[in-house]
Amino acid sequence: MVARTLIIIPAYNEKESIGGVIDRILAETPYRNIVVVNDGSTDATRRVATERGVIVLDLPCNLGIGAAVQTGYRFADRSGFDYVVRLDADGQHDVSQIADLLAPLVSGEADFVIGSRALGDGCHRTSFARAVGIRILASIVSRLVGRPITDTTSGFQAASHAVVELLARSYPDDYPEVESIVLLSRRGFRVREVGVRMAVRSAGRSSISAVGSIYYMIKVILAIMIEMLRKESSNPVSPGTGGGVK
Amino acid sequence: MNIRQRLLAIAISCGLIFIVLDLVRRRKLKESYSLLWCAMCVSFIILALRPVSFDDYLSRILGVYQAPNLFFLAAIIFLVIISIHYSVRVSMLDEQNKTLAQELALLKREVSEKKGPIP
Repeated sequence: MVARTLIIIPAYNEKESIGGVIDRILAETPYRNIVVVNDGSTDATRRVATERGVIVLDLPCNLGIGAAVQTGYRFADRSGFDYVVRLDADGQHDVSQIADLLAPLVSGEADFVIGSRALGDGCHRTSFARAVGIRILASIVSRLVGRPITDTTSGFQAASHAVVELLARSYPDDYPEVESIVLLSRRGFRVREVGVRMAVRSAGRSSISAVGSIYYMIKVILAIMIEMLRKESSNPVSPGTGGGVK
Repeated sequence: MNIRQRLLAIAISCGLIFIVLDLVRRRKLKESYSLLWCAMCVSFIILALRPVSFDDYLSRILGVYQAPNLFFLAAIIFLVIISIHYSVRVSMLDEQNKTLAQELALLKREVSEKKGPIP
């Protein structure tokens, strides 16, 4: 099972923390297939990752978190991994819980597992505005999915091969977590949550600022509503059909 | 609308068509992008050549009482359509650009595996 699992770490200017995250995976877990997707970092992120002997996928420019994660999924799909775990490069996810996330996939109970900060023990501090936003999104998504989802914005996730295959083809831009939950449950995949502990970010700041949060909320809610309007089997934006006005 | 207004509208439209077609001829502009501009100019010329009796009819249907306003209305509609057309194209280019960058990252990895690291 371990050999068929790939760990994806999207990273944008995370040279202070990425090394520690990789070291901890290598020291504390048996997983050795690690991919760092370097999203056009301007710092030493790529060097730090390469030095540790992990696979580095080097995007030529900064495409945003959604496209970076999708690059990892594309790699996983082509390399034929059965399970994919995604975690953040800032060290906020506890690597010892990777196995907890994989358990429902391996036992066949779920196709996509979210590491929920709300279900886990330990303190998870966040600003008031952000907490409200997370609540609103959670209630909308829970209603659409048809079962309670407590943490829609977690970047600690595990996916089965079938989910990876779909997400490699179509993955939302910008802030992909919420939309991907709705997308997957609409395609009939079973989404489950597992409680996880959160460490304090070891370096760097959250990628979302105050003004960014408002844009985030509006953009995500709009995206969810539009996803609901799509036909369930509809294809993602096809990049091949050009031609302008004919 | 008096004859001077009509002539002005025709002159501007013909000038614009000339510029657009010249850009296409010099391969600075693709045919598919020139079509909407040409359609806008042609419709302006048709509006400028319309018979006087048509004005009554238009004001009753569209509620446009001053003929020059008809040009503003048509121009705004065309510009909005052209802008939406551009947004669609930009979204498509965005998607294509993303896919290309991702494929490049995957290829770079494959090549460096065989030949050693690429700077």
